[in-house]
Amino acid sequence: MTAPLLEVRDLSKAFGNVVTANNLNLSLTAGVLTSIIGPNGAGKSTLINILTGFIPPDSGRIIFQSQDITYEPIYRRVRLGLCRSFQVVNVFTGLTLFENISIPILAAHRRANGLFSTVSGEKAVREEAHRILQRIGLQEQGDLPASALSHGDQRVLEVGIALAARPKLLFLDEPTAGMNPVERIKILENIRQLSQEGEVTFVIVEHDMDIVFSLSERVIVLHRGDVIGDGPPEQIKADPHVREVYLGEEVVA
Amino acid sequence: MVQSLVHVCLAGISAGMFIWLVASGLTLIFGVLRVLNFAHGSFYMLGAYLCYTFLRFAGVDFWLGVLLGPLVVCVVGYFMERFLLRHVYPLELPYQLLLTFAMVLIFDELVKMIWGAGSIGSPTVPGLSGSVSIAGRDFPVYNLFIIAVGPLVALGLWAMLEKMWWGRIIRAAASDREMAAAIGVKVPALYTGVFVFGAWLSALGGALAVPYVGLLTTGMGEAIIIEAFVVVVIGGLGSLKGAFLGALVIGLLTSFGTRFIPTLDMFLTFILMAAVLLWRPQGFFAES
Repeated sequence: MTAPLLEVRDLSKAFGNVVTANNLNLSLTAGVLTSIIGPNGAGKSTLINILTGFIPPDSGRIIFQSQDITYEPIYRRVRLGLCRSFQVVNVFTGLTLFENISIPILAAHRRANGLFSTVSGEKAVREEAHRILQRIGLQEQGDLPASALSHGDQRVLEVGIALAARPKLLFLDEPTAGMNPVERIKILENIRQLSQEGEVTFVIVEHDMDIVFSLSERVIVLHRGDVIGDGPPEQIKADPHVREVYLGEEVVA
Repeated sequence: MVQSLVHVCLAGISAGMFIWLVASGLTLIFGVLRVLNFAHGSFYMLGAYLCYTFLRFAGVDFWLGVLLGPLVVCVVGYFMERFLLRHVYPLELPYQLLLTFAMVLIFDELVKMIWGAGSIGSPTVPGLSGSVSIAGRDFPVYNLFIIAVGPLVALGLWAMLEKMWWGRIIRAAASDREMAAAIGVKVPALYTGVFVFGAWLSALGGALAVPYVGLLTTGMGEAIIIEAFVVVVIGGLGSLKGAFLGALVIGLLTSFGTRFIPTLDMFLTFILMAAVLLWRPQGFFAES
C-alpha cells in the first residue's frame, strides 16, 4: 500500500455552535475517483474550503503527499498540485477562453519563465493552453470571451482552468449544478476519461445520487461533520445508517 | 478667437494629463484591490515634494528627480499596503475610506513638518523651459511634453494589461480574486505590486507637475484627488479607458470654464459628475 495522496487527521471546524467538521479522519488514494455526499449542511463545502486553504481549520492536520500543508496559503497548495473548482460558475468572463486557460499556466510557471516572459516561454504557454482546450473539446471557441459560452460550456471551461494548474488532486464542487442533461453527460464523460488517464485524481462533491453512484469508485458520506459511510457505491447504497440519514430523506422528499 | 480656442484646448489637455496620471492609478487599484484610496492624491503631492527636494538639495538633474521622487513614493506605498490597507480588505468600504482619509491627513501634516506649511516655488526644466508659437501665440514647450506623456503612459498601460502575461493575471484577479487564488495566483503579492505601481503613477504625475504648477502646496494632493474621483466616476470605476477620456473631459471643461465662465469654474465639473451619476451611475466605461 502506497502512502495516501491526501490525509486528514482529527480535523475540526465549528462556526459558533454549528459543527461542520467533527474530528474528521480521511485518506484519499491516488487514482481513485471519489465522491463526497451528504445532505445540505453536512459540511461538504466547508471540508473542501478547509482542504484547499480557503478556510483555516480549528484543529487537526492536513497532509498532502507526505507534506504538512495545514497552514500553507492557497497558491502554495495549488503549486503543490491541490486544486479545486467552485459550486457557482467561476470563469473570467471578460477574458477569452485561451486567456482563461493560460492564467493558471502562467501562475504555475511564473518562476521558471522569469518576470518578463520571453517569446519562447509565451510559446510554451500557448501550446499548453491549446492542448487543454482540445482536451475539454472547446478548441474551436478559444478566442471567444468566456461570457459568450453557454452555462454548460462555462462549467466545462472551469474544469479546463482547474486542469491547467496541473493538479494532482482536484476537488470539483457540484460540477453539474445548473446543467441540462446533455451537458451533464458531456462533462461526466470528460471527468471519467480524465480520471482514467490517471494524471489527476478527482474528488467530486455532489447532491445528485445518480451521478455519484454511476461515476465514483468510492463514496464518502458526511453528516453533520461526521463520516457516516465510506466505501464503494454498492456498499454505500446498502448501508442502513446512510439510508436512514440521507437516502431516506430523499425518498421522503 | 480661433487662436484663443486652440490655446484653451491645449491648456485643458495638459491639465487633463496630470489628472489622468492620478486617476489611472486610482482606478487600477480600485479595479484589482477594490479599495478606493483617498490618499492617492497624497502620492501625487509626495512625488512633487520629493522630486523638488532631490533637485534643490541633492542638486540632481530634473529627470533624475522625476525618477527618484516616485521611487521613494513606491516605498511609502509598499508600507501603506503591506501594514495598513491589508488589514481593512475584509471590512466594509466606509472603514477603508476612513483609513485612507486618515492617511491623507497624516501625509499633509508630515509634509508640513518636513517642508513647512508655506508654498514652495518650483524650478523650470532646462531644455523644455521655452515656448513655441502655436496659432500665433506662445505655448510652453513643457506643456507640450506633458501632452505627449499622457498618451504614452496610456499606451504603456494598455500594452502591459493586454499584451503581457502578468497583465493577463492582473485582469484575471480584477475579475475574480477568489478564483485567481484558486488557480495559483499569489494574490497578496499581486495586490502589493498593483498598489505600489498605482502609487508610482500618481507620484510620477506629481514629479512632472513640479515645473508645471509653479507652486507646491500641501493642498495639491486634495485638489487633484477630487478631480481624479470625478474622472473615475464619469469614466466608470476600474476602467482605464474611462479614466483617460474622463481626464481629458475634465481638463477641457475646467479650462473652458475658467476662460469663459470663470464664476462657475469647478462648479461645472461637479454638475457634470452629478449629471453622469443621475443618467449613467456606473460611468461610461465600467465593466458591468
